[in-house]
Amino acid sequence: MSIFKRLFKIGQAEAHNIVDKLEDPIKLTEQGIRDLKNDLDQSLKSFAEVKALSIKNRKEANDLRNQATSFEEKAILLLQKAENGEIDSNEADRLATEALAKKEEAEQSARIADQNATKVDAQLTQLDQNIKKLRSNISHYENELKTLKARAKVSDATAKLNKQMAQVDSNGTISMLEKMKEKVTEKEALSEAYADIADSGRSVEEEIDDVLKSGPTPSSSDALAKLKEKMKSGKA
Amino acid sequence: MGIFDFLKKDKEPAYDPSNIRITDLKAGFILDYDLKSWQVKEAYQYDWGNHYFTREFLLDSGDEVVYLHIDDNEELDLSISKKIKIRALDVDLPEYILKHEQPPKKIVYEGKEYYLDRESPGYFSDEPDNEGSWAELISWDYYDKEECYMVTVEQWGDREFAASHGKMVKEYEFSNILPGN
Repeated sequence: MSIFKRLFKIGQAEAHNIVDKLEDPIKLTEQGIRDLKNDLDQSLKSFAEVKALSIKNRKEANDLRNQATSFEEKAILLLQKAENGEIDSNEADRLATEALAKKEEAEQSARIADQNATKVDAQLTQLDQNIKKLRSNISHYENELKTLKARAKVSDATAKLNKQMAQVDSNGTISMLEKMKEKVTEKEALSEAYADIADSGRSVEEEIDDVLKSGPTPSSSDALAKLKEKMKSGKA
Repeated sequence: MGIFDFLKKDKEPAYDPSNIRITDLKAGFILDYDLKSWQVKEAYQYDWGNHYFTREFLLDSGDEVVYLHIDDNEELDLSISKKIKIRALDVDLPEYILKHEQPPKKIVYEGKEYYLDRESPGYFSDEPDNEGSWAELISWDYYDKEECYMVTVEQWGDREFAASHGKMVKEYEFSNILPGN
């Protein structure tokens, strides 16, 4: 493999990697559904055009039938006028025949328009099938999107929780607590040691003073003398 | 999928193509009602004041023409009506309105009694998407005892009157609503 090909491959791989990172499955699914809906919209518009053609054919057939009725009424009116002597009967016959021919022509056109409408209706059935398929696809992917969103939410929450769990350094915390306990014990020991040093560092004079200071109070020495006397009298 | 495919995409429609509702209706749309397909030929708008608007559509099935009135201000009220001759309600109705400046409280049409429900002065436009010209009107709505059928009497200008007869309908009665181009 040539150097340029390899470089191109590296570039291609990097570009794909970046695009992969940018691809959000939910956003892309939403966009996919939007695209499908646009396709459906176009199909519905085509369907509407064909349906409009069917309505137009039926309207045309209806108008032509009305036209046929109108020509027949005109023919009747002409014959009535001839009967009443208002117009020449030959002329009335001629015009009435013309009117009846027009009536026949209109009826023929109405039949063609009806047939066209029926043909268009048959096409509508085929189009309707395609539209149903598209609708079903959209409905399927909308449901998929709901599931996808729920799964993404759960996955995000799980990832967050796992990350927090991974960040907790339980060993570090325990060793810190043990260290604190040791520190307190050390402080207690230090305090006791200070107390011992304080006791051992006193001079003889200080000891005497302490004894004298802690001597019996006047009231207690009175009580002692009384007790001594009581003991003597008891012996005698 | 090409990277610049989005540039080719058309503008997204204002409605949801997988669920087009009767309230999404516009001129050119097609819908099924009463076992027939109808094309929306024209769209109108009424302004009843205080930001209260209603819409009306002319529906053509090829052999029949009806008006669909949509009021979705509070709850969705739909009615289908046909134009009738004002004098089919009462031969002297225009003169009665001109004399009393309002129609009678009760009207009988085709053997059924209708009672005056409300008088609504407003404006009408046949170009709902544009700031077209608005025509002034007064509309009087009558309903039967069950409020299923209705008669509407309208006064346009000083001496012009129109009337229609129709019935209240439900949204589910319309189906296969298709968008038009």
